[in-house]
Amino acid sequence: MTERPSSSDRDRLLADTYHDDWTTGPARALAAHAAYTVRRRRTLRRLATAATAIALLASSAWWFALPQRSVVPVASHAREAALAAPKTAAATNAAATRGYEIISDAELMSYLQDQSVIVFPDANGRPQVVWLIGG
Amino acid sequence: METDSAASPALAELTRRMARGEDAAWQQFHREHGPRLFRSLLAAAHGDPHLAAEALQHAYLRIARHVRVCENEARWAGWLQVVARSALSDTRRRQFRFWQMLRRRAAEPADAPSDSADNLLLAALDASLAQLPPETRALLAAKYFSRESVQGIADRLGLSAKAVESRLTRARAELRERLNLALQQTPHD
Repeated sequence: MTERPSSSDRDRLLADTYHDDWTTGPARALAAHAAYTVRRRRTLRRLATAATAIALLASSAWWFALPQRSVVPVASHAREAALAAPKTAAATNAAATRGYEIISDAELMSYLQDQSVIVFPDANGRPQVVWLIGG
Repeated sequence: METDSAASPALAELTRRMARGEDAAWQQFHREHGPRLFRSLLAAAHGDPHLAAEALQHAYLRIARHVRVCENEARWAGWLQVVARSALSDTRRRQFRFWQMLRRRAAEPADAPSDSADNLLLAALDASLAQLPPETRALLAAKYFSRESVQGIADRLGLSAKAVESRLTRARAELRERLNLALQQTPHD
């Protein structure tokens, strides 16, 4: 051996010396085991991702499928009147042109004093107030 | 060590396939990069082949967990060395009890295979080869240094391939014995 062998040649000789045949012998199992480990990790990661996505979708679907609570209040005319905007000159003019007027609770009570009225629900379920005797 | 820092599409493809867990890619990695890793571990383990082999298995598993596409040969080789050293360190830690480990650490503070350890290993290999009978040495040189195929050697020597395989096995066993002896006599740091 006049020529000094290369580093990789000696690497290979050392590997084969301790493992019989590095490429086809028992040492091959090292690489096979590593490859199996990679595949198992990839599979587990994909399963975890899929499970997370399914859980997110299921929780979203459950949330949107919940019966929505009614947000429309059942309010009487008086209540609507109480909630109405305060009277202003512009509002008064608007009332004159539209043919009805929004009044306060106190005004309504003064109108109803000693008056007979009947209250019944209309087609939409809203209470309708009708004077039995004209005031 | 190859210091080619240019992009290597072949390495990128190999690491990509390794990251997918392809058996063929891992066998290629084992064939092309395994011997260098083993030598490095054997040097760092002061010639203990069992410790080196176990550390190599741990190194492979770590590489399997963390392998990413890499196209830089020098960076790849450097990363492999770091992983191998770390695996060797952990393997040692597992093998020895606490106080034994401390005692050993005191004797050899560095886990990394120093250049001197690597040189000692290669020197022991060369010395062991030189001690082999000329025929045995020539057979190993033909196979490993001239890279002749087994069939080529068989044709040249007028033997069957099976017979050459048997002679190679015996030659490696003889080399292993001499190498173990040489490494035991090698003074550690």
